Amino acid sequence: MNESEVADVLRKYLEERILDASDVEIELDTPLLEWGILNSLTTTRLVGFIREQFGIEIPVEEMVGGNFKDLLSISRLVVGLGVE
Amino acid sequence: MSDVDFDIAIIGGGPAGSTIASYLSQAGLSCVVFESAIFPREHVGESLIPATTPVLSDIGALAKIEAAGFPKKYGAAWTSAAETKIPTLGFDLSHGFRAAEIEFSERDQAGVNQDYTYHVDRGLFDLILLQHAESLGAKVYEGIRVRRVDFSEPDPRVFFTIGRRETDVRVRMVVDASGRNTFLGRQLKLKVSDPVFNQYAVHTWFDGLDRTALSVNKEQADFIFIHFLPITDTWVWQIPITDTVTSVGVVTQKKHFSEAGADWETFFWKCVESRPELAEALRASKQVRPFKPEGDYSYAMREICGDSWLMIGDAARFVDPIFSSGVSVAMNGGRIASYDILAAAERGDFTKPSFANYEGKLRNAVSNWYEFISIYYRLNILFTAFVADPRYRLDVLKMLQGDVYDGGEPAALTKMREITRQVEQNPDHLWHKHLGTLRAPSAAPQF
Repeated sequence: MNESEVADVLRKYLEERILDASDVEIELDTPLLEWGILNSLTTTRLVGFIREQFGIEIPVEEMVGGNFKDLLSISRLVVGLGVE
Repeated sequence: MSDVDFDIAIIGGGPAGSTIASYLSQAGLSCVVFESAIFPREHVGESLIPATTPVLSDIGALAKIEAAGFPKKYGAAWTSAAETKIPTLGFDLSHGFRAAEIEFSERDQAGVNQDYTYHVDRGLFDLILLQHAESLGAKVYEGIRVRRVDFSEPDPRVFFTIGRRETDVRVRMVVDASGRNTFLGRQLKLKVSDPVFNQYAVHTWFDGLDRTALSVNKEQADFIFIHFLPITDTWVWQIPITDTVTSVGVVTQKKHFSEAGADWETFFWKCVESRPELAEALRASKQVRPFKPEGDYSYAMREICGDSWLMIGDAARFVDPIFSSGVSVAMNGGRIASYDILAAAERGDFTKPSFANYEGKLRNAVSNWYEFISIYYRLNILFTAFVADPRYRLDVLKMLQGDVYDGGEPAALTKMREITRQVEQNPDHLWHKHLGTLRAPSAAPQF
């Protein structure tokens, strides 16, 4: 999978499972941390989802602001960790 | 040997004392239990964990506890304070996501053949156990306070007063199960107070609290609930006592309590007010007991056994209430200590080395608990993450079940410590800002 395919899967998850509001669209550069869409709990859920969906374990040391600030960064991280 | 009045004197008739009296009486030793209160009496510490089940079964009390009709506890849930959201953006984070929850049935536990434990009214629970010990042959004195123990001769003498007359019994050894009174710890000057202790608890009972109103999954309404409040490092316990009565307590740092500068009642309501749905449900119910504070309960013991004596339960060490482990540690301490005492009685040697097995196992258990609880307070989100992670879930559940006496440190604990260190060292880590300041309210194990 490439970054954009990963981003689509993650966007779908965020919109359907994290946000209640169905009319909100998350763009590649929507500031997820800044807007509070990703907080400690939701980030933990997202990491669990990535583990189940892609078989990718995000190392604890990668759970930093720079890697989770938006969809693009998260997708890069997941692809960089070797998603197939 | 025939010149003693009893083989074993036990100070305190709570779960620790009753348990060890039951084991030892069952095995044929003569025991005397001195309990300063007249049972039943109120006591905090109402939620059990499954590690109590094998002990209750061993001493033959499980059927009596089951018959008493205490609410069954199938699991535990931790809810987290809602995090800041930015309403102007039109986002609404999904509600109902609970920080963590576990069911005991998810992991098989040796000696446990039921998928639940109990929430108990400690007045009744402790009474049943004490009467049970008596039924097995222990001599029980209620309303009798032990004054001192004279260890100057090989057979200790226990002094107490009846009416105005002081009298004593000579025994082969003394077990201190006096709880936070820490009878021997004080007499032998082994007690070390925690110099920076800062926790306080205020609790009461409510009748008619709608427990389902607070739980997302209605089938879990009778779990124990630990609610974290938006006030830093403050949490609330919610424990079913009967079908309609619920025990609710606030645990907080002493400084919050002092800052409030108010009485316990005002303080309690101020705390729960930060979780409106909780406050609302509580206000709709009826408070049926006065608010009771518990404070300054942090201490450690330099030694927990010596020639002709040992300590069990809270008398040996206080265990933080967050994971409901107090009664379990008391009863399992009684179980493990009884093995050593029986072997000592057989050899006729009650010197300190006879209790090495107990000392080692208790050290193992309380070290694991201490570490686990410290990490929990330091980085709460890590606990949530580990419970949600299939690689660690059962390992965490093992600790929550109270299965901590054998084996070394659980792998999950080692990993949690490592992660906590990484998060502490990296300010850009997403969890860094969630590092808490609440310390586990017990000094690290010292014995």
